[in-house]
Amino acid sequence: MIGVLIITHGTLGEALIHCASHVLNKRPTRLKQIGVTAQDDPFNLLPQARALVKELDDGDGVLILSDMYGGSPANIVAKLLVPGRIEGVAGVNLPMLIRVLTYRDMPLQMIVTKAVSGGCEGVVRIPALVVNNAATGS
Amino acid sequence: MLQQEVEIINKLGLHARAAARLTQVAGRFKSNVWITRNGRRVNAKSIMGVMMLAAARGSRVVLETEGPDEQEAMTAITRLVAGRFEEDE
Repeated sequence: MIGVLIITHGTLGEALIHCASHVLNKRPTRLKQIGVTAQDDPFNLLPQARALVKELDDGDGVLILSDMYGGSPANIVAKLLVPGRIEGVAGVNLPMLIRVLTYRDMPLQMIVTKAVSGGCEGVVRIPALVVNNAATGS
Repeated sequence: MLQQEVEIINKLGLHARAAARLTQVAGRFKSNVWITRNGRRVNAKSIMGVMMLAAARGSRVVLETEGPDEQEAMTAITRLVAGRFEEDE
């Protein structure tokens, strides 16, 4: 099973795990997070991140999800990657996380693809309901 | 192949938790399971697909099962929908 580490700004990763646990009705195993705060020197978090990656890897590999590409959390991720064994994807959202947790028994390369497609497909303009919301004032 | 139309009757519709439950139940069977609403047909074993139907309460969806255990799959899923996904309302 692929281990999943989330490295984000602030408490976003913690909130994502909380929400995913609610949706899936269980706390997924092998899923951890690190929040980078304004007080942190991001690179001081590297040893902790490396330790978590090691802990999460049962031999199948680890996928690291981050929020914004180019941000400090994603820059930490870049330092942890080992192509084919430890992969990273930025732009994490709840649909991406749910999809990753659904497919984590697949090979790492496939999960990377699923993460990207899940994240993208989760961004949808919401169509208004057939009931005219404006007319009802609700 | 079996096909059956059902109405979503639980208060929150096919929201995230209900969709997760549906995909978990569908995933227990070998058969392919499809769910269609308003012409959009998705794999009922995919939580994202099911959620994209945005099926609120009162929506009618068509279930299709095809495979060695299609009858058992259809029974389990229609029971889940009729049982309001075991949610407290």
